[in-house]
Amino acid sequence: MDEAYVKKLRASLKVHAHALGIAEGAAESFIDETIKSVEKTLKGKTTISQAELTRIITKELRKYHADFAYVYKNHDKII
Amino acid sequence: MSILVSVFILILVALIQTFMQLSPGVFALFYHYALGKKSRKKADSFSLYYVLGYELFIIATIFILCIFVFLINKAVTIDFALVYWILAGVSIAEAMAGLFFYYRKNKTTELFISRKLARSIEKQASNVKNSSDAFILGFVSGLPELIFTLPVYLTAIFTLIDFTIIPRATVLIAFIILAILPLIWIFILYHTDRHLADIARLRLKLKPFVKIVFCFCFLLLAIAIMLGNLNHG
Repeated sequence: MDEAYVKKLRASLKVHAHALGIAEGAAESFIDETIKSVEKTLKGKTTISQAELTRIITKELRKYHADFAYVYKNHDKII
Repeated sequence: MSILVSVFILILVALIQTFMQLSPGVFALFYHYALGKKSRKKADSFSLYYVLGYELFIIATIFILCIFVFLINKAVTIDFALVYWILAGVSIAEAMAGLFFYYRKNKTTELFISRKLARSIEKQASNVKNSSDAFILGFVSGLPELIFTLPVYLTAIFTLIDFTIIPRATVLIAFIILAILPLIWIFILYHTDRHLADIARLRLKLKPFVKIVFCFCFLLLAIAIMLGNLNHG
């Protein structure tokens, strides 16, 4: 994942976490751990589809907060 | 059309409007992002403008349709029987559309609107910075559903054509209050420690029910229009 994407992802996840009422410290920790794990999973891969990336991020987020993962996965499927 | 049939039609029209899903969906998204980016106080304040925008959209649409019907009625003699048959036919088509096309066939609450438009609305909902943005979003949120609401509004207007001004105003006020009930419901959910995940799951759970309600109400509306028309004739 390039730096710009990670920055955008982090900002988007922070907004969702804040809206879900997750404490700032906990949210930072969830996001850091998720991004670290995702980067580890993607190591060596040159291309990945957005759907696959969303699936991996959701899977990682689910380990920490089920609703956080649900919102991340479904925020663009509400309407 | 008898008073009883007219009242029944108006109740169905209000019920259909109350079950429209786009504006509540946009509201749920918009409130989520507002909470994520601003304080709850700001989110609440923006909500009011969103609701006002949505209300203005409904009032403006009904007003424009009333003028349109009035002008047509002045220019030519409207064949009411024909209009009622057309509205009944459209209601049957809407019943089928409500059942098969209103929601997309997947395990989400995605609606019939194009994905490009949905993404654009979601982007707007996530970028509300001030009250006027919220107001515009509320106004715009009713637009894509006009394909479903326009025949319903026209049915209400033609039903009210024989009424005097006081019942017309009463119906309009009741209608605009009922239209915002889903928004109030979502607002209450957000204020009782629920968030977007809960609301999305709840809307998903209610999806089959909403589809059946739509189909049932539109079919009943078609039957009521036809009955009213036959009695009238």
